[in-house]
Order: sequence, then structure tokens, then C-alpha cells
Amino acid sequence: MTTMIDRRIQKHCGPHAFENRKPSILCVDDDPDIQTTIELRMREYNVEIERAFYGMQGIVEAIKTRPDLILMDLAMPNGDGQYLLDSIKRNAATADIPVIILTGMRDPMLKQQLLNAGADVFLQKPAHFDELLHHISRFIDIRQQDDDEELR
Amino acid sequence: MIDADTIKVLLLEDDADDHRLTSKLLRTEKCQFDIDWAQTLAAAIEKLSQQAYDIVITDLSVPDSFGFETVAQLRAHCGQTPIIVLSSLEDEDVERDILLAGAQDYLVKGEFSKRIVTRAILHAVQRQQSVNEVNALVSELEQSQQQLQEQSLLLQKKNRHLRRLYKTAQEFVDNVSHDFRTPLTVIKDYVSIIREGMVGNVNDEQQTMLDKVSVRADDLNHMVDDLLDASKLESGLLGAWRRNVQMKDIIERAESLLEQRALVKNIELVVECDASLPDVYCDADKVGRVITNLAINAIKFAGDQGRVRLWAEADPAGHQVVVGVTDNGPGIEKKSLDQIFQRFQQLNTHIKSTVKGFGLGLNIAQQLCKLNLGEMGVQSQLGKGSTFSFTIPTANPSEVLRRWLTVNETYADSLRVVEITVDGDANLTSCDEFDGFLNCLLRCNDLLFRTTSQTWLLVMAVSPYESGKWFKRAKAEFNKANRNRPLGPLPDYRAETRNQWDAQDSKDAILLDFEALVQHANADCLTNCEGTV
Repeated sequence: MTTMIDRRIQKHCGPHAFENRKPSILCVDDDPDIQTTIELRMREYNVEIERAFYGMQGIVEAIKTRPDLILMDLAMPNGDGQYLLDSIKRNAATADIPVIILTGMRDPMLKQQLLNAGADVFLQKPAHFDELLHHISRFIDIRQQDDDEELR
Repeated sequence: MIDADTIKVLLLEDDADDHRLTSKLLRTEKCQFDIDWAQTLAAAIEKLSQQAYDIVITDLSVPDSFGFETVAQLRAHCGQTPIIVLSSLEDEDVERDILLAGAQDYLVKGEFSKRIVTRAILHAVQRQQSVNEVNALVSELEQSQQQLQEQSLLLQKKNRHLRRLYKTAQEFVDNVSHDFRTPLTVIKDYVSIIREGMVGNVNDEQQTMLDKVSVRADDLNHMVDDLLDASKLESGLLGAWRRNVQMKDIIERAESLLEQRALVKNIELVVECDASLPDVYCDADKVGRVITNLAINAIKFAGDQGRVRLWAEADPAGHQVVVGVTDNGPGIEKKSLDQIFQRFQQLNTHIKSTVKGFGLGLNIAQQLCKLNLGEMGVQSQLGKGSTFSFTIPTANPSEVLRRWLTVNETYADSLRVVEITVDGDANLTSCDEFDGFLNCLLRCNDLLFRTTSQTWLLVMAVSPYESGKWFKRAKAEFNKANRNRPLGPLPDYRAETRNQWDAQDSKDAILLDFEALVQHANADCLTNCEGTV
């Protein structure tokens, strides 16, 4: 419950209300190269990236670190994305964390199913980074590193 | 009734006088009786095993048997031949036992006339014949019922097998697509990270090359899409999930995918899409694919310094929106143009046979247009350029159903409309969530129209048996969705069949009925809205 309120306050007041606590994204994908591209891309933004490589790890990390956003793949070993999404949404501590699905699957029903199961955004790989960034910025305050420095 | 002129009688009688008496009784003008005489039960059984009789007349007491036991024994050996008992005993208990043991009739010696005996025999034979016929029919029925049961079991087994195959095929196709796309994604991402100078400076020449790599990776990705669509189209696995969408959204999405490609090819990409276009009813992903396919072709053919225009216009008279891609390329020769046009006219074109130079993309685009109840057209002028365009119906339920009926002319089963309503006090958000749930339930090719914020009309082509299954599945899925739903339960709903038609009903009649339903739903909405105001 606290996280939910925290996040709301944070959203309204910006990250500075929380002593510069960097917003964090949990990235769950079994492909380390894809993780790296996201990390590289996000490097210029004031965002912390946590990694998990399979569904179960994603569940544990989500509870442990309570990220501000979860970005996840679907086809993964040891707990696929669907399972991960269900677990996150069923746990009161993590249920309000927004979820972006990023997948190479093309099943037309899948999108509807996952949105129905509580996912916020469904994107197909290869996704346009600008599009991904746009959706990320809907949920967390991303500002570029140097903006931040200037403000300080 | 009795076909043979002569009635073959087996007479079991140990007393010679009685035999003579009975024989005399049976000598009539009406019928010819052929009497065979046995003096013991054993002899009678022997005779029965040798030939068929029309009737058995028997005494109760013979040297080797007594009472109704005689009848039971005979019954066991004479199959379907009727038995009449002649006896000097007159006892109601005996009479009942004898009839229970399987005799047709019971006559007391000395009490009957010639006429009575003849009639008793004839009637017994006739009765037995009817019984035999009924029995034959019953066993035939039982047999065919068993056959039906066996066939239905077989069919169930085959259906299970087919469902498994279908699932495996679909899973295979999906897995392959996924496995292709993962490395492609990595390639594309790394290329653009390098190209944007995020990991070190890149000179202009390197940048141009990386641009090309990126576009080529996109090509590969589109090819995977095309091949998958083609295989799904060929095997009939590709369904359309159509709903109300804004053309502008689809076009903007396609535009973002095409920008880089146009830039790399030095092509000016102009997008003209009026925001006031009416909503269309289609599968947005598939329309997006058609636009990308056409635009990629146009960019390919537009040549250096080319210009490609992506446009969308309303066609109110045709209840449709026309989307087109116009290039200023070399145009298409008359011969090729005719070939392309012919393909568009054909109802079922073979996906993999392509018009030379146009690749799979155009074929798939055409098939995807058909799935979206639209048509594709092409115009071209040598030296001036070409326009490929396609139509999509506006979100008008009657118009969509009209087109659907034209495309699915041979829907084998009956067609039905189900009206689905959620509770009146459900708020808009939960109605929207319920809409999402309904869309998940949709089978490919079903039509779902949201007539008001909380009513839907669902058109499905199903047999009555299957539709029962649909209602059950809907309920089960609803309960399942509510069980592990993080966002709280979905609003309760009612689903009722409003109308159904079978294959004999004319298209016009169906449309007229349907139009009335839509009007009714709209009218309801109006009164409800007034009520709340």
C-alpha cells in the first residue's frame, strides 16, 4: 500500500520529492543482448535498470526491489511472461506496478489477453525505441541525466 | 398378409385320433394346410431343426414332456414360429402359464369349430409376422443407433486429433516467428545504437551504411511476417479480429515504421489523413500490414528523389474508407497491370504464385484486405506512377454484416445474433474492460459490435449445438477471469439469442432482420440516455 501512495506522490511531485530517488525499471528478458540494448538506450536517462532473466527471478526481483515499472518478454524459461504477469498482479505488494510487454510473438489474441490480465502496454519486437520511450514516460518520470545535473 | 398359399403346420400330438380330428378340421377351401405330424417332443424338435414351419400346433401332454414345459421347449427351438396349444385341460392358471411360456393361443379340445381353428391359426401366423417385423425393425434401429454412437465417438476422436494438430501447427508457426524475430531485434537495436553514436563517433559513410543495415533488417522482419501470414492464410489459420478503430491511428503507426525507410531511400513520404474520417471496422494490425506492404513496394519503385503519398479518404456512398498509396515511379506496364488486376478480381488466389516483381507482399495485402471485408484496386500510368488502394467498411454494423455475408456465402451452419448486456449500473471503465473480455472470447470470423456502451451484438456462424457450447464457454471464462482478476470483478452480463437464420434464408432477409435489431439497440440507448438526463 505504501508503495502505491509513494508512487502517486512521486508522480505528482517528481523524483526530487524523494531525495532524488532514481526511478527504477525491472527488465525481464532471457536474452542478455536485448537487456543490454535497453540498458544502453536508457543510460542517458536518469533511470535505474534491474535485470532478471526468467519469470521466477522476475517475481522475486519485483517483490524485493519494487520497481516503478516492469518491462517484460513473454517467451522465457522457468516462468513465462504470462505467469509473471499473473503473479505480479495477484500480489497486493506488486499489483500496482505498471507493466509493459515487449515480445516477438504475433498471436493476435495475445495482446487482448494480456491487456485483460492487467498489462498496461503491449509492444511487438522489434519495437521502435521512441515508441517504447514514450510508453515508459507515461509511467515514470524520465529526464535526461544532464537535465538533472543542471537542476542541482 | 400370409404370402404363401400353403401354410406349413407342425402338429405335435401323441394321440392318433386327435391327429386325425385336427387334420380333418384343417381341411378347408379357404387355405391349404400342409400338416407334418410328430408324436413326441423330441421328434418335433428334430423336425423343427430340419425345416421351417409357419405354425406349430401342440398338445400339452406328450410322452416325453408335460404341461407348459412342452411349450417352453418348443419355443426355444422354433425361433419365431408361432405356437398354438390344443389341450383337453381347461384351467385358467394353465392357460396363463402357457401364454407366458410363449404360445400365441390356447384352444380347448372339442370346444372349437373348423372356422375357429382356421382363424386362430391364420391370426397367430399373422400376429407372429407383425411381431417379427417389429423385432427386425427394432434390431435394425438398435444397430444403426450403435453405429451412430460409434461414429460419433470416432468423430470426437478425430476432432480432438484435428484440434491438437491445429494447435501444434499454430504453435509451430508462432514459435518460428518468435525465434526469427529475437535475433532480428538484437541486430536492429545494436545497429541503431551504433548509428546514433551512442557508443562512439560514426562518420557519415558509416551512418548511411548502418541505415541500410537497419532497413534491411526491417525487410527481413517483414518477410517473416509475410511468410507467416502466407502460411496461415493457406492453411486457413489466419483469422481476423475486427473492431471499431480510427484510421488515423493505424496510419500514424504505419508512418512511424516507414519514415526511416523513406529517408534512407531519399524518398519524400507524405501522409494525408483527415482526422474527421469515420471509424472503420477492421483488424487494425492487418490493415497496418497492408499499408506497410503497399508503401514498401511504393518506396521500392518510386526511384531516387521519389515521392510517396499515403492517403485516406471517406467514401460515404460506399459506406467505406479508401486508403491508398500513390508513387511517382515508372508506373506499371499494361500487361503486368492487367495481371495484377485479374488477381484482385479472383476470389481465391493462390498465395504463393506471385506476379513477377511484386513479391509475396501484394498477394498478402490483397488477402488481408479480404479478411477485412474490403477490396484492393490498382491504377497506373506509365511514366507517371501508380496508386494501390483498398477499401475498409465503416463501423456500420449492417454494412459490415452485408459484406461479411458476401464473403462468407457458404456459411454451412446457421447464423445467429446474440445480444449481450451488462448491468445497468456498471461504470464505463468496467464496461470497457468487459469489452476487452468479450474480444478475448471472439472466435475468428465472429462479428462483434458494441451498439451502446453496455450492449453488444455478436454474430456467429454456428450450429445450435455449438452455440450452446459458446454460452457455456463464455460463462466458464467469465468465472475464470473473475477468479484471478487483479482489477476487481467484471460486471455481470446477460446473453440472449435475438435471432437466427439458416442457410436457406436470403441475404436480404437476414440483413433486414439485423438492421431492425441494430435500430432497436440504438433506440434503447436513446431512451436510457434520456432517462439518466
